Amino acid sequence: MTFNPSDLWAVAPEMVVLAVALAVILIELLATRREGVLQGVAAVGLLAVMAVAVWSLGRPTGAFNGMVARDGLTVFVKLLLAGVALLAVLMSRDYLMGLDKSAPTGVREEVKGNPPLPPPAIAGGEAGVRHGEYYALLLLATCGMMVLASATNLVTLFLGIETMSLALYVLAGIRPERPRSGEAALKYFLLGAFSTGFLLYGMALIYGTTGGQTNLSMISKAVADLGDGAPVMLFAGVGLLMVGLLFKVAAVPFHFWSPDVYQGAPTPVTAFMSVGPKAAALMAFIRLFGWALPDLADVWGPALWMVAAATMTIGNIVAIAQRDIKRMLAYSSIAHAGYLLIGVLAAGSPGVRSAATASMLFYLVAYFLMNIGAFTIAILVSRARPDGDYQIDDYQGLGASHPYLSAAMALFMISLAGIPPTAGFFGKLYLFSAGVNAGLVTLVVIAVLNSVISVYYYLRIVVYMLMRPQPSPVEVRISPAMTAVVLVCVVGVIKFGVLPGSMMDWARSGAENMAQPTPQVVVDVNDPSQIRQSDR
Amino acid sequence: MVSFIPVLLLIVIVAGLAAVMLAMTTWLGPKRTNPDKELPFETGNLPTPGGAHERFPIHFYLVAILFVVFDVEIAFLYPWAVQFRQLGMFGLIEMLVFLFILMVGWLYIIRRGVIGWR
Repeated sequence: MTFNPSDLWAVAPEMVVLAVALAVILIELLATRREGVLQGVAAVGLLAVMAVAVWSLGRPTGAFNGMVARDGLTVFVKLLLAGVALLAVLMSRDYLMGLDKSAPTGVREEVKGNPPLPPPAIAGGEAGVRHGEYYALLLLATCGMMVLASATNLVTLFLGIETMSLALYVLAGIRPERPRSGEAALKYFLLGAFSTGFLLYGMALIYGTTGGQTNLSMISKAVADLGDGAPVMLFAGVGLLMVGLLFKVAAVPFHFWSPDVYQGAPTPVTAFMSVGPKAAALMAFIRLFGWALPDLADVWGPALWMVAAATMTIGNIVAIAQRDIKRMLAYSSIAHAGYLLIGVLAAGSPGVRSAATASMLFYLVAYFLMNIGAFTIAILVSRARPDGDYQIDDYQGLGASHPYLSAAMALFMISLAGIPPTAGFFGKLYLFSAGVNAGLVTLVVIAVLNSVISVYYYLRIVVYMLMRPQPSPVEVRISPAMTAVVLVCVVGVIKFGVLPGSMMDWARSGAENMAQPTPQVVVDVNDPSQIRQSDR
Repeated sequence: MVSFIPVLLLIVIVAGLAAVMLAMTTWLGPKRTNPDKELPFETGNLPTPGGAHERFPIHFYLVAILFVVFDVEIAFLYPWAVQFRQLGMFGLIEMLVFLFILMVGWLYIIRRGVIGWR
């Protein structure tokens, strides 16, 4: 196996993210611990990542002997992921500073019977967030997502999932003095470890039944060769793999971790987690099920159909009952994962594969903008409360005291509900029409009915803000960074809601410009003549 | 399937040998107990006082985790050293990058004072 230096272009964005993460750690250790500097380095670094990602765009091809793809789809998703990370970095500073000022919140939720926990006994320093490691972990998680989104081999897929997950486990628990944060991290870690087990077992079964293939195109070929004689073990492998990935996108019935983790994790991390891993895991879904295993659509299609229907229905119905806006947005994000699974199902039918992928990309962009925007405003409103809680009741009468903020929140809610003229509407339109073209009419009807249900709980916040007399005015202070984040989201949601054409064209060209690399060198380990003398 | 029969035989022999050895020490071995022998084995230390729910400092846990990191480092360095000539300049640069990333983590550990025993 030879090394080709141009292969490095395929992972150039990942390399830059990694370099920026290391730089952030080193700056904190050696130069300064001022958060502004660390945040600035992370933000500028992410802009550089985006530039490199655009620059790395080229003829669709593979790299590292078919381990990763270098194509338009990958670049599109990498840009999206860098954007998610950038906005998460920008909204983090005020959040972490705001918490540092407020008193410890652990007392209220103390477990009975145990003495209060002492401050975490991490050697060498005071409790609290080291900002350097916070931003570094955010960047490392982004790196893992990028690897996951460009993986064309089961091994790189696993590597990406683990890099992403390990960083996210720590990020969920980065406020060790708050019991909820620790609970979130522990739940996420334990359940995530189980789901990794499922994923690996599925990979092992696929490896075994396809004659030792890990490259996705080679698996596709092997499955086609097996034809009707495919063993049950292969179906079991595909099913287990699906469980592992569905856990990462928080689809029903593998969603139980997500409301607790979303509620317990620091809110910028929650915003990041609700978009980034979903986008990356769905790209892995598309490559695996849409491109590599369409021959088995009879097997995974019905299962995924049921999961998609259950995900959007349960997500939307349970969201109605929530009084905490973070939990409500968690269930709403479960419901949106259900809508997005329609795209994966549609990609399984060869005729609409590119169109379905493009509509998913557009939907992810729209969801990214409106969801990050909603979380940013949730942070701002919660910080106005002395206990930093996230009650939906806090939004009562917000329209009178903070008209611009309320208008932005109303826009995000309308977009999440999928009402025109917003990006959310066109996202749903493209996604559902791809579903109809793929013949998934019943599922699309279920999805449309679900959108109607979701209008209730999204618009409840708008009603609270604009149509309720104000009981107690909350004083919301907005910093420049937060203003920038909200503005980017507002402009994006309106722009792609009024003129969706340009973004859809990019998404389409990204989806059509897709590589399915195969390994050039295939060594058959059972054939002694293929092993070089020097390797013996 | 026939080719797996030696493996099956091996499993039977291993399990049988272990069972026989355990059984023989149980039946044939002399038993002279004293209180020291009844203590839980904690690598020479006195056992942790109190019940299993006692809280105790877990400094050693961090050190143990760090040991794993350096163990992995060796696991990568050793095959690289064996194949040093075949891998050439590419291998050297790759290993330097790997070591640099690991050294950032090492510096982080030192500056956070994890190694200093308090």
